[in-house]
Amino acid sequence: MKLRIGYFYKDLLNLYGDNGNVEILVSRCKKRNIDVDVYEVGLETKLNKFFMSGIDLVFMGGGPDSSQKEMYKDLTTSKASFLRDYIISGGVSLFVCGSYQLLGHYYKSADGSTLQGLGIFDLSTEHPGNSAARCVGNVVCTMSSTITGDPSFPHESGFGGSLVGFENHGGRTNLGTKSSEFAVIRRGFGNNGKDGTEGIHFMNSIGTYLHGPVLSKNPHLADFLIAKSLELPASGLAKLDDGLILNAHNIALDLN
Amino acid sequence: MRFALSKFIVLIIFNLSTRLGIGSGYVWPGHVVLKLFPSILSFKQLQCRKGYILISGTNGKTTTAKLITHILEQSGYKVLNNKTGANLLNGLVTTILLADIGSVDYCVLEIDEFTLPRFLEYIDPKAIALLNLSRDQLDRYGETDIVLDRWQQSIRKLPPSVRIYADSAEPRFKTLSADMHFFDDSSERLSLTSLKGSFNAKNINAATKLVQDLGIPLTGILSSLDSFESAYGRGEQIDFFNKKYHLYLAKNPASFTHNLDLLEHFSPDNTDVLIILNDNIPDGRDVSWIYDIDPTAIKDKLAMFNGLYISGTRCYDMAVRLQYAGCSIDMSKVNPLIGEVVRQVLPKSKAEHVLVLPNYSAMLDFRKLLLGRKIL
Repeated sequence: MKLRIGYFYKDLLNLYGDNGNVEILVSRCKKRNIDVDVYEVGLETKLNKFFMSGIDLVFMGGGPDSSQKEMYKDLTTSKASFLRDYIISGGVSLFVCGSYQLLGHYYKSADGSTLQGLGIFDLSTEHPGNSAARCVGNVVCTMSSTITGDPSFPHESGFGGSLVGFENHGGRTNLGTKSSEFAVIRRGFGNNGKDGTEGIHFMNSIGTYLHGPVLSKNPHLADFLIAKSLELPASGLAKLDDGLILNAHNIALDLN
Repeated sequence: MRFALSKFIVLIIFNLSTRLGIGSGYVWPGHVVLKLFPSILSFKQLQCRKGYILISGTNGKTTTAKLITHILEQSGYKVLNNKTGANLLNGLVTTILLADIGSVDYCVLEIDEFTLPRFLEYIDPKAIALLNLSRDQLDRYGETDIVLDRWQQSIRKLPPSVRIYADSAEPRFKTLSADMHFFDDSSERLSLTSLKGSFNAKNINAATKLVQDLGIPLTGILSSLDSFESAYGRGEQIDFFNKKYHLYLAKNPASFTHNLDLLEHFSPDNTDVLIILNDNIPDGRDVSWIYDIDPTAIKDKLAMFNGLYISGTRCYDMAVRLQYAGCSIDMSKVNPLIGEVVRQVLPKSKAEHVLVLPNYSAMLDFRKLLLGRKIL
């Protein structure tokens, strides 16, 4: 058994420890003797259908403004159609913060200028201007039933459906009417601080604002992604000793 | 009149807050004065005899400012230095107004990266040392690009006579000003001091180059380096109940990774490692930076230390991070209460040395525990 991860723009989008997500996926597979290949996809990488058909899981994080500009040009010109086909055909992927926003219809920045998104996710993001406070802080939320009801989601993990992390974003995201959220906010802002939604769950892809990195204290989400990518039921993955992580998760449930 | 009133206010509030134990004593006096006189820093009574020397950057500010201060003092100058690390605008104002600034030769100030541009609006320094810029407290500051952009804008407005000293390995610093001077990490002077690590070699070279240009002869500099004692929490050694605690502030990925290099100087048989991670306001509430520490460095340098103790409000986050990087974690050595770790857990170990890697508020808490006081 082998998990093949497509790791987009590792060197450009390396803010907030999000690279830890891939480290965690690799570590949890290795503990179960599942081989992992990580394919880095950068500015120079030429994608093709054959390459994408060999990918089981896509990860993409967020980055500083300067590298996001560089990445944006490359993403929209040479990667967009492959990523769209991958997601529409049910490929598993995780997008955090900056990349989550870019997969929507558009991003209106603080100065009023608008950046066209890939339009894969039915959502749009607007920055209310630099006088508005950023959405910053610890987050607690509950994953939506579209995730926890999936046969690949581990119910016996001891973590239930709760999710903890840290958010730090200026833009407010609004989901389209047909989109379903990734999670429901218990504490924090989430997509926009108003409608109680956090992230998006579309086909087998997840977009989220959560850092931490998001998989660090949510191993049930990490295992869901692994099982889903390998097309296994949750029972198909050996149980790991996550006692230490459960402590960290439970403490984070009470952080304000 | 306004200057005298400001000095009076600062003195009263400083004495009050120190006596009542509110904050570090440096925050409120400057805060109040800045509310009353927002342009206080432009008062010409704030000038010192030979000029201001400013040190900014993510890591190494306190050590570099202390090096410059020490060398200048050894050369006979009267120096004002904000040695407690009060490096935001309010702390700087307090530091300056509490001193008899007119009789000071050099005012050597470490300044928070984001505060530097605001300070430069009012005061033209003699020289600025810019050490580095890396990820630190993003939940407060945003990204390093934003900091760099603000530096560039404010430095452009300075008179051309202001000398800028910067790390030669940092390409983003190359074009900050027309009068750039560079330092590197060559280690020939490091061995003259009790400091360790290539990051401290850079701090020493920055300080040396800067004071040489102020006219201090090299022989004087070298003998000053020999008598230099490290700043609190930055290579400081504290003896406590038969153990030697070596404190190295580790508050962001860069300083944590640098400090992992120091483990080479300690024997795993006789050394325990204590990592303390807090998420208080001065630290930033976001601890996700611990995943920006290179996991290979953790595995290669830390995993061989059996005595690995973890404390602080976010000790479990740190324990999980180190476990993912390949360290084996003993749950009995993970405890959020630092007092319990020092009094009850660590005494069970025979190791004589404890290398302590705390982040900022953790370092202050730890010093308070061992020394009964937080800062100097």
